[in-house]
Amino acid sequence: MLYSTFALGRIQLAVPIHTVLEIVRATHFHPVRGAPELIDGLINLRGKVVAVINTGLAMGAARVEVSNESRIYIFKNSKELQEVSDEPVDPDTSADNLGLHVDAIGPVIDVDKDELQPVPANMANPFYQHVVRRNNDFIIILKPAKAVALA
Amino acid sequence: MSQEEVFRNFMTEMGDRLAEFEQGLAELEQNFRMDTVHQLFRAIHTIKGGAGFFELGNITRLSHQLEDLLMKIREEDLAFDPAMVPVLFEAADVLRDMHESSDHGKGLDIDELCLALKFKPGHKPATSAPIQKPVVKTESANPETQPQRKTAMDTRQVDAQGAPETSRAAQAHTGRSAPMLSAVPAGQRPPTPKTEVSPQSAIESGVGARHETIRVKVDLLDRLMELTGEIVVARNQLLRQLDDGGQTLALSSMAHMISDLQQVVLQTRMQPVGGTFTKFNRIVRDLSRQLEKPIRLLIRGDETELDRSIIEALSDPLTHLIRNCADHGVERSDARVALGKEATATIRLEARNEGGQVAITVEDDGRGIDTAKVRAKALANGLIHAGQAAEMSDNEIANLIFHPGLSTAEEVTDLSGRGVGMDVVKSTIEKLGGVIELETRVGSGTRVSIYLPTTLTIMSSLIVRIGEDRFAVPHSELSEVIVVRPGDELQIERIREQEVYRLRGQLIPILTLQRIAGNGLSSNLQLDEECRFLVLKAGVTTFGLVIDEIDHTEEIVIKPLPQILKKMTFYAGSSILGDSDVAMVLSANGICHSQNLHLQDLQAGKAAGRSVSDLQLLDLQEKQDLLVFRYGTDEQFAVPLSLVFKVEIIERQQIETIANRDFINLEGRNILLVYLDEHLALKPLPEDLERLYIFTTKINKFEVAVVASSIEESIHTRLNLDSPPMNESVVLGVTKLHGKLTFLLDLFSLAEKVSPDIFRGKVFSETPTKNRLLVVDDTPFFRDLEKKYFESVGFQVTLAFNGQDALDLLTAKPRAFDLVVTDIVMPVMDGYDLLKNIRNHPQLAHIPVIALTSFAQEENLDKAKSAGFFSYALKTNKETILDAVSPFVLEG
Repeated sequence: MLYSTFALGRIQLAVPIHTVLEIVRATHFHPVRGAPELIDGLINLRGKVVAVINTGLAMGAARVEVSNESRIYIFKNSKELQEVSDEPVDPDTSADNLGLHVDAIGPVIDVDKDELQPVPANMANPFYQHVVRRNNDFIIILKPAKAVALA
Repeated sequence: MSQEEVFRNFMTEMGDRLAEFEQGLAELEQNFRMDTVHQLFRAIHTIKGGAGFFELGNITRLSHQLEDLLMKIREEDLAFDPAMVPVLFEAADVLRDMHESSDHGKGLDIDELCLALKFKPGHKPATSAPIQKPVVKTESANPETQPQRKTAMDTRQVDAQGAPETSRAAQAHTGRSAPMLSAVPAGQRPPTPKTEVSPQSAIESGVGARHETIRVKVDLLDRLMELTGEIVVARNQLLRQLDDGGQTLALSSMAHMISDLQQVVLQTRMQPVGGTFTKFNRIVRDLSRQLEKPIRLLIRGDETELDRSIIEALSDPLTHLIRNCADHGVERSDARVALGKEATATIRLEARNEGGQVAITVEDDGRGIDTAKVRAKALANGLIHAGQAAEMSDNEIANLIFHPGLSTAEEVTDLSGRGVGMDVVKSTIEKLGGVIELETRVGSGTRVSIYLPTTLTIMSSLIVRIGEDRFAVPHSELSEVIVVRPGDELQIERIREQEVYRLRGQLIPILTLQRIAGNGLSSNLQLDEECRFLVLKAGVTTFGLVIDEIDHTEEIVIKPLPQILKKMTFYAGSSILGDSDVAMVLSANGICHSQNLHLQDLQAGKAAGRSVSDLQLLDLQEKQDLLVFRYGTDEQFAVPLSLVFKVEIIERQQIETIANRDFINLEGRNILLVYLDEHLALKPLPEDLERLYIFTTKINKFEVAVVASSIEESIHTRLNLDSPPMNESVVLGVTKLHGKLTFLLDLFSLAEKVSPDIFRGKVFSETPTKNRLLVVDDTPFFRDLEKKYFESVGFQVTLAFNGQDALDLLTAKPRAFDLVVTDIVMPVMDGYDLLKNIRNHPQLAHIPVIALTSFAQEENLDKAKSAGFFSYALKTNKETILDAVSPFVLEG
């Protein structure tokens, strides 16, 4: 299964590629007054209004700042996901598109099912689904559906 | 198309025809028209045809009987008899049941019904042998496919005998009564109306002309709406871009067409609510029968249109509300008659358009909500505490029934109180972006009002700037825009941490976005600066929202909030503006709820039991015109401008001294000069000050000039005097003007001091006989001042701090007062209302009332006189006050 990796500070994260609609540059957020801190704001994606979560703040790490390298991952909503998936999608999947603001995008990797390991107990987080070892690095596989619960 | 699909289509069709049939019957019940019969015939004919094709035996048979009967009436072989109506309804009910049951009434025994439908000439409509309602088998059916309308069927097993007395009472109201199965006693056949089809009535067929319709999948319509929305936005963007280059003309016809397209597409989703409303006729009839209370349902405004999804969602809540009316609201007919009400209760269901919203009301003329019980229950459940229980008005208490966990229904009847409570009704309405409110009067009835937005997505909105962001406010929620500038008459005031503004007599709360969005931080609204706010309306609640500036108007597509932000109910959604910027759309309803602004009536007067100190906080002082001047470098003084005659500059050398007094010669007259340092502990003006200012005032027809070192300004302001006036002093009080301590001078006292002989205040030649005076004024300073004036000339003065207080004193001791002198602008009860109350009170009507005010314009005088005040005086002018009062007190 293919995963798209990205960086959060020095942490490597990844999401299944079929859950991603597109990846765009972060230029300008429209702030939402009164929204929780971890929401960077809204962006206008060709007519669609997408809420973007600051992944750093969401995971209790340093805030992701807008930079030349930072990107926004736009995830498919439940309808779009259902179209490409044969199995029923995770019921937690957001009904609308959600964005994740990350520090930098990484390469796409291919991971076999047997390479997926459970998340160590000391790192547990509802957002984390599995971990994978690659080149002596840990890559944490995220579950995008859980992102909504962050707010 | 599969056989299944064809069958499904027929079922839908049958459902529609049945609804038409039922509606037609309801019309027939009220008013016989051959046209209606034709309609009924057509509907049944269609049903029969399809049922026959699908071999639905019993449905075919029953519809055939109905068709037969209708044909006979049509051909005038059989005269129409209102007694037929109950049986027809019966048949319609059974048809419906068969339509819904899984075996389509296969095993049903409808022999008796069919027989009854034959209505052989001379055949007595069933009286002694009431029709046994066939029990519709539902147990045999697959439990999962239980028809939804279980309740209607539950009420079916009614003892056909009915309640005789209500039946007779019902008969008294021709055509409107709840039809009873034990129908018209034999022999009572009302004259059969001959077919009175006149050309006109033939044209206007009662039950809405048959629309040309076509079935379209809802998904398609949704997609159409979406695309249209996007086109609108794209058009706006394009217009913006071209506008900069001045080329919009090329696009104008297309732009107009897109607007038209938008309107039409919006209408595809709009349906008249009447479609949903008709079924309530039947529901009320059933309820009426089951509860043995005659009830009639009046429907109005069924042509009002609403988005179809809203209509669907309204069905359940409205059903619940109507059931509540019938079950809890309406009394038994004997109880009603005993109360002087009509035996038949009326439930009114009305829909109307109200400025961008649709208002739907369900109203009954029953017993109203027992607010005492609700209050007690709410207290017992800890919903409110004792303080609130005392303060809340009856309507506010009644609205508590929308709160989950407050059920006062003593027994959970079969019909309501089944856990589908008012709280569910409320949340359903709110989910649709609507508001629900309730008004009740014990003994008279209850009215529930629902306000809904007419369209869901595209709204014409005002784009405003608050802080660094732009927000959209739909025009439908926007009432007006108000700018308050520092010099204005009405200002934003603060009461107990809440800013308010008096908008045409009603106090509305003024909110800031910071407060709404920022987790209840108190706003940092500066009261004396220029302030701009929008007046927004949500249902009946009005409030103000502070903005920085207005940007422009735009038609926007409101996109629902991303799921992750759903909790922020004060936003209706987001939108993309013409310039591609994102703007949050504010929701008046949402703001109200997040701030708990419900039917709160902030008008201090309406709340019972507010403490006196609270009322004084709401001290609505009128504004005074003051002349501000300085005497020396430090001290600043003010006098009411109304007393100032002239302001002049003089040179010290112009002053003439005669017999130890200084005079100045102005226009040939010698005017006495008054130096303040001779009467107050002040430093005299420096000798070398060559140029001096004077202002003259006329007291008792004598002019006197007060010397000042400089005239600062004339200012229109509220007087917030701090220390009470000291007796025997010329200073009325101290206030702060532009941050500087300013002494307010009492020119009358000053004049008296200067020249007691000339300026002795008007003294009545003898102590007035009728000298018991009630002085009413909300401003402590004025109360004391007026008291001082009146006591100095021999009156006995009692003080009241507002109209209500005065009225209380008067009614307690009607003979204790000879005259009332009152301020006009006061909280709780103003001068005009006080006057009205005095005039209307038999024991008080003889007491003359004089009005005191700060304004001197002629129109105020006329207004006061025509309201019934005997006369009218200026507060700060002792002379006019005493003049006004003297006519009364000198008579023997």
